[in-house]
Amino acid sequence: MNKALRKPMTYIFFMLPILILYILFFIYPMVDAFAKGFTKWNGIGTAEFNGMKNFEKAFSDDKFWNSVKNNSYFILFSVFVQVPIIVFFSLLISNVKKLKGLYKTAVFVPSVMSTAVVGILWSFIYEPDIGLFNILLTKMGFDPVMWLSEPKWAMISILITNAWQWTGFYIVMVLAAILSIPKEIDEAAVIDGANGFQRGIRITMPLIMPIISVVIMLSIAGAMKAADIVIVMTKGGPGGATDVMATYMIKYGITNVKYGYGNAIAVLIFVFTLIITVLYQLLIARRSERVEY
Amino acid sequence: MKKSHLLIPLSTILAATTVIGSVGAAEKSVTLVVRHTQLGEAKQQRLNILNDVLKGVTKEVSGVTFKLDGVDSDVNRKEKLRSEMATDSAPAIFDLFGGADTQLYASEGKLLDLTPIIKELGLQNKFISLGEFTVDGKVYGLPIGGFQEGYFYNKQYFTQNKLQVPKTLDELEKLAETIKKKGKTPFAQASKQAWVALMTANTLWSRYAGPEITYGFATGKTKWNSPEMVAAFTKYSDWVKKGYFKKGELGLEYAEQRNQLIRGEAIMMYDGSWASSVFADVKQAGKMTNQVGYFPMPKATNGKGSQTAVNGGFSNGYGFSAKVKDNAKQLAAVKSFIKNMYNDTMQIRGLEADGVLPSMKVDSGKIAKAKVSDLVKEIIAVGNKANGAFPAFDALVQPDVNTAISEGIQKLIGGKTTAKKMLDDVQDVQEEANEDAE
Amino acid sequence: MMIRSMKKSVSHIILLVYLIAILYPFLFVLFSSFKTDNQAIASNPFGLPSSFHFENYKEAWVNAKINVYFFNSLYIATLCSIATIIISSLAAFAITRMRYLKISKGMFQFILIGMLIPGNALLLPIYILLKDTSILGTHLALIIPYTAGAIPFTVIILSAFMRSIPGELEEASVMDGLSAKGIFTKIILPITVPALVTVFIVNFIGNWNEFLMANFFISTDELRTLPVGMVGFRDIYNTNYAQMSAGIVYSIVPVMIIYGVLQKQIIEGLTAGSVKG
Repeated sequence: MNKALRKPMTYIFFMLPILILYILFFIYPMVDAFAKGFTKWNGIGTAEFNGMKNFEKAFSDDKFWNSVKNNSYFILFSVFVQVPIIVFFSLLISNVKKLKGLYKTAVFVPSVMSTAVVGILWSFIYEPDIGLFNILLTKMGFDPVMWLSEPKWAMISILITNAWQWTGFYIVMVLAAILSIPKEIDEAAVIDGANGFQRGIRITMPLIMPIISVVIMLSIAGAMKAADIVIVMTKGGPGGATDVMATYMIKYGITNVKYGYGNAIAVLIFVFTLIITVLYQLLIARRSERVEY
Repeated sequence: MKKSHLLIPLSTILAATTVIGSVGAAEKSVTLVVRHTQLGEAKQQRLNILNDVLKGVTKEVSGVTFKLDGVDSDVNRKEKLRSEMATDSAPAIFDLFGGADTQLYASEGKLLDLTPIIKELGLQNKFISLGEFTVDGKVYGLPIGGFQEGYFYNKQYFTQNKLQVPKTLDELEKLAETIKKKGKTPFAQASKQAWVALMTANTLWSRYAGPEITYGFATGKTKWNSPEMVAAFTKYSDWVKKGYFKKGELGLEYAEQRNQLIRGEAIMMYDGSWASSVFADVKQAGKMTNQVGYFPMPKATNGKGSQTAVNGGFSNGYGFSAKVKDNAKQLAAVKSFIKNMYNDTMQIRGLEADGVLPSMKVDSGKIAKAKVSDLVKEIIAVGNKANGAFPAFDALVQPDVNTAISEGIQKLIGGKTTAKKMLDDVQDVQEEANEDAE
Repeated sequence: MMIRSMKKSVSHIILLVYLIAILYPFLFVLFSSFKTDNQAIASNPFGLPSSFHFENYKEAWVNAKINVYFFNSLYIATLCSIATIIISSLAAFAITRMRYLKISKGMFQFILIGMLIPGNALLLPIYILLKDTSILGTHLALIIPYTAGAIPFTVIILSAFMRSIPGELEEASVMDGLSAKGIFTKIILPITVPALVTVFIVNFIGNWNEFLMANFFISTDELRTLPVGMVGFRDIYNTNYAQMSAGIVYSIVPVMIIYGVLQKQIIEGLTAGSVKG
């Protein structure tokens, strides 16, 4: 009876398109990056094998570690700042009856814009003389802040922009999870005398842990490939203060004409992503096993 | 895994689409992509010149069309062209810098050898200097104009406050202190792109350590962290600390520095001669139109080498893809482009309309008759008085060193490092780059 | 009851403040776009200008080919999202519903590796790979990598969804004499629509946003996508914030209109497939 679903030609026909594209654009480039990562190559001439030199260079370069640090800021900021905000506002929206649709629609708006436009818009907001923030600050009697030009502010400015763009996207996801919790569970708790806050913590939170875990995973993935927002807003500057691994790869690979080194960085980005994902799975995801309801 | 094997499936997917795309286009006409950097109001005249040249080419060579591709100069130089050279996808005609860039691309055979073409067109002795575009005796690019760097200043402010054009660096500093005390920013600057801040630094170190020092970095004869260099950068960082530049200028785009001068917020600005056209245009300069003067970086007391040498040369122009020579029509178009672009008429036009200094030996009578602003005359006069000229450092050092000093100067301005520490780091990169080259 | 309604209004106040904070940047840009120059923005940052200056819109339209960029992005993002869905749903069907469980398990694991490879990391090797084809510098140089780039995510989401479809359904269809293709198009695909919409939206947003490849792989102005075109525009007119604001407004308005019309579908679509999936 399984014959219809056991036809080798059909199986191959169904699998072939993605396998070709997947191998061409994931596996082959990855293998190629590994191969070229061990060479000295200017991208134009022939590549010469140079052993671990590229990796040694990266590991001894403060600027590389600085870019790793900035990637971690992206992750830490989303986990410890964005996620609580997301959960808070999702709970708040789920509890109101009126205007729920409006809130849901409005918070999502920044997420439909392209990152480049978001970066341009926010560069204007951070502009030292006529930007929104400094006008507000000076009106309130504070000194203006050099948002994108002072190393200590530049990274946080980018993180705020990134959060502005994506918080709403995740709120909508978490909200849907909250709203899909069967009413009876909540009502039972009301009868038991639990107040809104207690219900939020004791009942809703455990039930939405799986989706929060998804949000965190997506944030990590987003953090590891963040580059466009940095390029648009600061180009990694001032003085490399906001470089992330991907912009470091472009600067030290393409601009410096060192494609071998650039490929080594690509490999390191992959390795770091792997490590973080495994750590996350081992330490956190395992403990918050899916709650079935 | 061999690449050719993997390419088979990819090309199969593409076959249909690419075939459709290429059929028909092959014979009738050729389209050349022209990568230029003449974007925005300030460079409108230069874009007009380019367009007129291309019109001339289309008339001379039938069946040639052009697609213009305008990209920001720094992006083109450091990202687009770099990557296109590696992937063999550079446009037929492109904005090119002489020096290190040209050497790199020429040594890998990516640039069209122009030596026979300029011979054929009788241009071989017409350029003032092709040095930055010459590699092993062959010419790979042609400069569109000359440039020179110096201080632009608000003349009115100087007269009102009875200030004098400084003769020495000490006088310049005193001047800056006075301006600062009067509540203005002494030096306009906007160095989100680090080369802007490095213009001042480059000439400053040439005053302290002599212009020749820069030639020695790539050969190992001189060092970035030599005492004179440290002194020059320490001076620079003193100026930053004393508030001689606008706070937060590290986040501002290059074009913003001339606005600081135009708005009257800053009084002096170190910039290239190419900026002069802005101050001749009422639409851009407003009240500051024709109110701007020019003086060279003054001499340092006890400085080494020529103290009147200017940072100047012929480093920016057009280069052509080596692939052009495989197609007779494209080659004809390139020849015609060179003929139409590089001649006395266009040189004078560039000078008159835009204050671009000639890169060719234009008849001196014609130059004298050219209608140019007082500012351009001042710039030419400074050049004539100068004892020597030196190219910008980025034409002389490897790309990695340029990246290192670019990051370094921004860190120095941001107060994240000291002159000594920064130059030590740059020297390390320099040594590594020199080793690589061997 | 009093307390309860007060609590509700507190919630509304907090939410409204949040909305204003989120949406005010748009208003700031909109107001700025009608002002004559930077000076006018600085002197009256929060209000509308006394006289509307529409010149900015005219100049921004001439100086940046936003219509061209916008159309390029729209068609590339749509085409690639659809292409990804078509080929990925075929594969997800083969993996979850066809009777090659062992091979399929291996295939799924193999594709899962792709989730660990951050897209931007492969910029250089993909660039070099495309170099050897004739498509570099054409839209295909974006369309094919974009289509390929979304495969792992799409296959995983669709597989998860298809796996949850009860087996009885297709068993009945097999009895009715449907082939695998028939089961796929007539039975499984219609049920999967919510998940298809979800991945379409996520992939569309990803493609619509993509900057790095579009920046490096395309070399002519008329082929640029919106993100690259807008950044180019910013690089040139970076000191004229009034004109730049007009450019930003141009690039936002069509998206807002599309979102306004489809917001229900987009928001529900985004969550329908992912929450249960």
